[in-house]
Amino acid sequence: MGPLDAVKPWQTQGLEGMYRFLSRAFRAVIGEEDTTTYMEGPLPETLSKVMHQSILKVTDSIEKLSFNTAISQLMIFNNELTKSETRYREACETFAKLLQPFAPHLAEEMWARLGHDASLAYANWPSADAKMAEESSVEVVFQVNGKLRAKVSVPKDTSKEDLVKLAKENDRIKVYLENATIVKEIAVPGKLVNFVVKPGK
Amino acid sequence: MAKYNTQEIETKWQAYWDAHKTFKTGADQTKPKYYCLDMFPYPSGAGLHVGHPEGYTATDIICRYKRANGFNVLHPMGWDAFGLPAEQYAIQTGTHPSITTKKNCDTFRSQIKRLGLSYDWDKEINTTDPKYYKWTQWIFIRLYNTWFDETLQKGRPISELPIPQDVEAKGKVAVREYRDSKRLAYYADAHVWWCKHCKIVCANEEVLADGSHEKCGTKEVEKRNLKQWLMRISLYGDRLLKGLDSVDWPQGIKDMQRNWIGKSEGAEVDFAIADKAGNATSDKLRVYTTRPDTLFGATYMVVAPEHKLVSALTTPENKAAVEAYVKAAALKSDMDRTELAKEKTGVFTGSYAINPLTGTSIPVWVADYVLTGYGTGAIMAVPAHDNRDFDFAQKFDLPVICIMEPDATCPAETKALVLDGKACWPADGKYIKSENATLSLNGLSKKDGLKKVVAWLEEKKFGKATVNYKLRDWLFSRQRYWGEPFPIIHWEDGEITALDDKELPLLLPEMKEFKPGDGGESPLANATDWLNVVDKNGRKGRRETNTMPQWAGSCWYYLRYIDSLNEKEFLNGNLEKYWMPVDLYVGGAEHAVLHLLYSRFWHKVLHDLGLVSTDEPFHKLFNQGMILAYAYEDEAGSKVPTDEVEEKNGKFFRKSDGKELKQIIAKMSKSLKNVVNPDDVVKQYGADSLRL
Repeated sequence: MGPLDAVKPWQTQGLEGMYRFLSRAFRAVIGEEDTTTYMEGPLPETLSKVMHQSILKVTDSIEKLSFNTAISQLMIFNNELTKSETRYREACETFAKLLQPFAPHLAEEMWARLGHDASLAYANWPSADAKMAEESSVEVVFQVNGKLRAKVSVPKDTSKEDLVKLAKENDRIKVYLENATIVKEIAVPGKLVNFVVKPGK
Repeated sequence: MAKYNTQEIETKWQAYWDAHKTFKTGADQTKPKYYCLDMFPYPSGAGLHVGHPEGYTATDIICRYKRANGFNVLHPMGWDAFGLPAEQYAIQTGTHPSITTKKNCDTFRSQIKRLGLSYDWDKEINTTDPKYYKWTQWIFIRLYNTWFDETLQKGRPISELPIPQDVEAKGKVAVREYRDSKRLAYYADAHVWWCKHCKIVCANEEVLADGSHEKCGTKEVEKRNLKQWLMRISLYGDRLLKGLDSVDWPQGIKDMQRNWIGKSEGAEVDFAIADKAGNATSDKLRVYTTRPDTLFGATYMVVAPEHKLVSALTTPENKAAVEAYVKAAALKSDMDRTELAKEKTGVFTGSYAINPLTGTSIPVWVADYVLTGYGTGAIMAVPAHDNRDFDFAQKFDLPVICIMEPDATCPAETKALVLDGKACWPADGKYIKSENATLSLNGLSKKDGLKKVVAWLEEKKFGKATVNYKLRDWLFSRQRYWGEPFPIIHWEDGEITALDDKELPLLLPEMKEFKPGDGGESPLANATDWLNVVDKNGRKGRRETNTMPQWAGSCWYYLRYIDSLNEKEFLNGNLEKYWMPVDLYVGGAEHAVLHLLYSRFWHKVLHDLGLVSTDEPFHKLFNQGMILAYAYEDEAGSKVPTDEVEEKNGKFFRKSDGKELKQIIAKMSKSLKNVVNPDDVVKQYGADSLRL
């Protein structure tokens, strides 16, 4: 499914893809055994982060009628559920709730399997903790004379000074600094470091 | 449970939702509300198209999301079920349209239910149900009994219409006729489009840009003069325009509506007709122009072929040519006539009129690039500063007088040509040669020139500032059986009356033959028992035989959903206050102009009468894209049905001769055999997959 307002040709392949996604979701939350057990209690860190990110993203996408982005996020969430050996109740319930507007039959089936008697239709929409959804690290780029030379992942709150230090120690940047003079250092936390250099020491 | 079994899971939950009425509309008005509306379908015999579910799924996703967020959600579905196909089927087979309609609605309902859409089926409506069209007729009577107060810009009850003294003095009939001339729904001779193929009149809006009829696609449309019902939607032009500022709609749709309404500001100017000696007579020819500031450059005039003064203006030696021209013009569509690229045509009437600013006589022509429904049906032509006038003047060798020196945006070489009368400059600049004894525009630019010339015209009583709209009155009757009967009686003494509310619904009569007459009368003219009535004084009358267009039922269905079972009122006021406006309305962009304009018009009238609290019905509008399909064509460009095509390594070949074909994207159609049936998809992949 593409954007809702686009004119598009009917594609059976797209439908097959959706069917495969729902089959994976079925296995991740319900499984093919007769009974399913769910782990109560706190979620592992990554699963928790993806869950909170999914709540934010799916909510925002529905508000914007951008359903295809919501579904992409549900796929990411589902991949995370699939990776986990254990079925965590909180994650599975949240997934069912987020899936409900899009695939209501399967979502009701999940909800019932999770032990609820009433329909999922009026269960509260999940709310996210924005902090929990935050990525702890962020990707920054290192440039020399405006040209991209390296990409690294750094802790989110890395300061300007630390960022410059990290860049200077980076092997791929070192080469460009060896026989050159740094004219200017530009650092934007969370984004980039750029060295303006001229040849010679 | 083993694998993901879509059939088992989906039918189980659909049965559960049905049995528990899970999606029944909440009644607790302390909760926030969300009214989410789909454009309701015409239930065709072909069943649900795969394009329908896309929009329906979109609203369904929103509704489920809103319910989970604690909203009372109104999410209804119904059938826009009057219309031509069921009637044509009735003509061919004798099956009553209501039987065909019921069957098709049943199919649509079960197909929609199988998609797991969370509609409140207790709200279902059908425009052909007498319990529904009773209220369509009731609203028609409200429109009939309303006039538009231009000062207040508001519809008011006809009983409040002030009657001028001179009309009052002429007696009862004159008063009645005066009232009838002000009603929002009125009966009049109309110069209308007639489709010979469908044997039906068409609204202006239903004749497409290429001159073909929207419904049948043939070009067998022509103009005829017939007694018809019309709606004075044009009086609401300004209101319809202003309302667009308050709604959250795609910009493109707003623009289309604005263009359709086509508001322009200009002036009406009177030109005196000249006698043989070139002196002004007391006869006037009134023009509408958006550029009164260019009056000094007017070198000829044009009247539309249908203009009522055409024959009076035509001199004996020009009579034959003018009459032939008028006849030919009647066969062309408005689009054909006004298209910029079209070769200009026209004939000279033999008469002259006097330019009020210069006192010079200028010739009066008849040409079809002027339309009778726009402005006054007559124009002054300023070839130096209007492209169409320039083309016309070039072709017929009429004088071009430049009265404005182009501004700096004009290239130097063009400027020289313009000043010499050899090119046209429709943009801004500084006036030259624009003065007479009491007025000079020389040296001014357009904005100031417009103001000054209009003030002068008003002072000298030659004209006045006027606002004009392209929007015409809406032709509201059809020569059909399968539509809402008008609750109207034509009496033998010429009076027209509406039925009393207590007499509604006026049911369609049972009939065996559904064929329309060639002469333009609806099949209802053959239902003699139904047709003829006598009042308590023995006065004979005849019911209106036309029926309402399909637009009627869809003009207000969103209101009926709110209170669909109410037999006492069309809608309970408290419920209307709670639920309106519609929060989200989703449907195809093909309804960008007509349906949305008509329903907004009705809604504003109902608002003026205090029957609804909202001025605009649809807060947010969203258009889903059309779903197309792959199709195949051969070298010659002819299309090849999908079942005669095979794929090899990503290329496509015709099975019969192995020739390579091109894959293209086109509308789904039966003849190309590329229609995707949603039932098959649901069977194979499940409704949940189709929804995604």
